[in-house]
Amino acid sequence: MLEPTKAAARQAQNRVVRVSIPADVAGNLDRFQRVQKDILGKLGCLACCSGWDIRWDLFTDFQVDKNLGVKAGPGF
Amino acid sequence: MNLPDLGIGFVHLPGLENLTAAISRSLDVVEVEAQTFWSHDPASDGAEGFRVNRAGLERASATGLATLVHSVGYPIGGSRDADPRHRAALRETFALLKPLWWSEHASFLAAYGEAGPRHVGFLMPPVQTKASVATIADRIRRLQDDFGLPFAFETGVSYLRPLEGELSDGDFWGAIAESADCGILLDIHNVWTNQVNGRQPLAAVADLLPLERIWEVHVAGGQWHKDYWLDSHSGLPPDEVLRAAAALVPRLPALHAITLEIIAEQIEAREISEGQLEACLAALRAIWETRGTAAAGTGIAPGVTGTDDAGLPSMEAWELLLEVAVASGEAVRAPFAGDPGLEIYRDLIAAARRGTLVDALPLSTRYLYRALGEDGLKALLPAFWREARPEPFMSDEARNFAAFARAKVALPHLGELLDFELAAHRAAMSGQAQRVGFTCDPQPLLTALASGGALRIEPATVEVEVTPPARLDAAA
Repeated sequence: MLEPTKAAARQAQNRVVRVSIPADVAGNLDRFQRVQKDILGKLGCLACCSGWDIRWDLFTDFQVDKNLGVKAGPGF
Repeated sequence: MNLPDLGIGFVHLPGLENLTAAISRSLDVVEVEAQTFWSHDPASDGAEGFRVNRAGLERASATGLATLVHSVGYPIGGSRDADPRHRAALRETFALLKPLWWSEHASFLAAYGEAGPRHVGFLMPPVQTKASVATIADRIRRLQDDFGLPFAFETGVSYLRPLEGELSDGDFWGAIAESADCGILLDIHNVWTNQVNGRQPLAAVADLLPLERIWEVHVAGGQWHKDYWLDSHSGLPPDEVLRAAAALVPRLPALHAITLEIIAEQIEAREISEGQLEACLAALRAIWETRGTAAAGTGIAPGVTGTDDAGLPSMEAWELLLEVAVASGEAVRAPFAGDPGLEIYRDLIAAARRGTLVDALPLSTRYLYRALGEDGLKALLPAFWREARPEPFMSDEARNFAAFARAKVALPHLGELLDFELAAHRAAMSGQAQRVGFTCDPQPLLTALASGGALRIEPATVEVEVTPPARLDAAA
């Protein structure tokens, strides 16, 4: 859930609004409870593995309805 | 080499920390895959530097278990030394974790053309010749001298058919170990994978290895793909692998650790319970207790003298030919013509590159997915791959894709979203807040992408300060 650390009141469109958002927002999409990678854990080299990378399969494991809303798939 | 017996180990990767703590009573050692805890940001670290995630490594030390370091980005099986920038970060990692030995793969990651390194995107097997043995053994000797730390190389996977005249897998690895005077990390699942896919059987490999040099054994699970068994670390070891380990370990007089490898995401995707992991570790401990009980002197010295390198490519030529064969997907020349293993490598590299983008840029790729559909996004990626070679660090791959997508895809606010995610990377890597701009209210956009709700775009001029993330251990 996105929760800006500094609440930004809705401003007129021509004013610059300043908000503070933690970087975790870009990294907290993991659906898992026991396996939790922070952002840094997603930026290094790949693990020692010579096989199929499952991360795309997990990414596509949700469905988009006819209104382009995302419906949670298994485990989402 | 007088090394202590450590016992049963578990791979240590980002995301596995909590699980490791939960099963630590079944463990004696954690094996840290070093480069998964590093990052690279030319903007803040300079082109030469890698940043070691010391907090991540400290969580390995905090387990109270012994630590080993398994390097996964500095392979020792190429014609040239791998990226030398790893050396300083390896030293920092060693200083922090104080491993009793370290290991790397007898593989290569890049071919070297006139324009410099061309990364393949996967650990690839070297041509198995006497010249390769000499080159690799010389490198290992220098590494042991430079780092002053015992070294063992890992026996790798090859999805390629052996070429006529190549050394057998067992002869090749045995000759390297003898010539370099180093240890062997015998990955039983790797060698069993090779066996299943038609290469030399594990038992025959073992008969050719100097068994007293096998310091460590890896076990893992895998899966099928197009009639090939893959070393995907996707589950618990198959019974055949455990039986092979049970048959071999009593013959090993100097085994110091048996390590279980598994990919973090696979544990939950396949619903592997802590109880199942601990049962597997208990089975490995029973095998561990038999170590050396049937050792019969030293291993057989590998016989490499009967094989001539004539007719086989040099290491440099092999690497270039293989890189082209894997990257092009078109007509493949000798010596790889007709080898179905090339298609396996292409599939695996594509899967890894796709996975890296959705992992490192989850919001932007989700936005692209919703706008273009799965087929549209999947079709976009080969165009990116034609423009940008694979990068070993996921941060670099993400940055390259962001530049590509910004130039090629016209979607409202996509560039701002990419800027935001790259700023989040920089904030995490540097510990410094970053600033980016949005021409819409970012909160409903980011919330919709993070949670799956309907997209709402509300025009606004917003300056966002992206603050460094909280550490997982601090949040716990």
